[in-house]
Amino acid sequence: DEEVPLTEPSKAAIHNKEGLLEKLEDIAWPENADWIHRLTVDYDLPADIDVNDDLAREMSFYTQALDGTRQAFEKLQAMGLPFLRPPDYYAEMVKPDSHMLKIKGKLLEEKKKIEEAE
Amino acid sequence: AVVEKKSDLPVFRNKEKVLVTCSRRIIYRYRHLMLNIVSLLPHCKKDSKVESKETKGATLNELVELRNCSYCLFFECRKGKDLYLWMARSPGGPSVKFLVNAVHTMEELKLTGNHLKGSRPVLTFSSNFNNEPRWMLMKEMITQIFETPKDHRKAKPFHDHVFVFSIVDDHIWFRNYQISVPHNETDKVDHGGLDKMTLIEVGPRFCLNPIKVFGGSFGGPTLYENPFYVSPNQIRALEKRKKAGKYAKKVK
Repeated sequence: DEEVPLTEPSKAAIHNKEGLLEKLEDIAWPENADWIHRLTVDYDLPADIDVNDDLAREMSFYTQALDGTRQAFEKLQAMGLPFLRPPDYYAEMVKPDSHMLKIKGKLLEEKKKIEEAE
Repeated sequence: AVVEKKSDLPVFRNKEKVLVTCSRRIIYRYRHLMLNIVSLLPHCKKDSKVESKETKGATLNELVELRNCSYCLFFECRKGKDLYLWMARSPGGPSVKFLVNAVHTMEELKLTGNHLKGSRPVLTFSSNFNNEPRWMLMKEMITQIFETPKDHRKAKPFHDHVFVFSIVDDHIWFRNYQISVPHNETDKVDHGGLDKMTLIEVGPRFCLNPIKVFGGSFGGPTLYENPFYVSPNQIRALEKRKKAGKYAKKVK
């Protein structure tokens, strides 16, 4: 799983910026595709994230998600659209109940272990 | 009073459909990752495995057309250990080939979040996606692939999860979090509720290393090559050679 990048960039590598921009123009959605179709938010990352520091990296992803959600929800709220699931709305979830039970079981087991250790 | 339409363009509707498939002899871990992605994209169609050989591009393009899709995600597993991901717009291109690293599937028990199946995700991008043409192109492709079309028949009208696409160290990192907001008695969310918002990771996790961008779908002119990319095969060969050297020294 270890990845060793080249330290020197290879000089022969193709980088056709105009071609890339042309393609972008080709595939981009029309101008009247409103934000509601995209639901995208940008986030300024702190400049110096050490990729090998798992905690710092995950924290930056978490902050990006949290900040992005706040911005998106503010926009949705301003548009007067509902965005939060009401507590009495039940529907199929992405992880089935059987899987969530397993997760619960594991959490309880861990809790028990900690208590026993104390 | 009737509001006049602002532009002459017809009303936009997102009709993107994504074909998701993988190569033969894919290992279970990567197949689970693919199935996780399928469960996150209600607007995708899954197809049976495709042989990973030179002519796979033509086969895949045909499949995409047959299934009436506009995008293809192809998970290509080589040597039972390396995973490559193709993101292709078909038929006109472009396509991007990635090496996939740091895979964690949704089945892992340490990721405790959960969310509605089919709810439309909020997409967050790190702003360095806007710095280079190649990242801008990938951002547009990712948006079109990963955002569930509004009013899709399988979509739900609430937003309870968020995707992270973040460029760190020239790799695109993906995360999926459940958005958890404590409920007030009245159910109408004011800012008080939103301030207490927390996120719980749902998974999957993966990290994409772009290798090449092509002008066509699964081929065509190369528009970008990652100048720092070394294939996993080369890395393994290098390691083997190092070990071989050690032994020769010992013998002397």
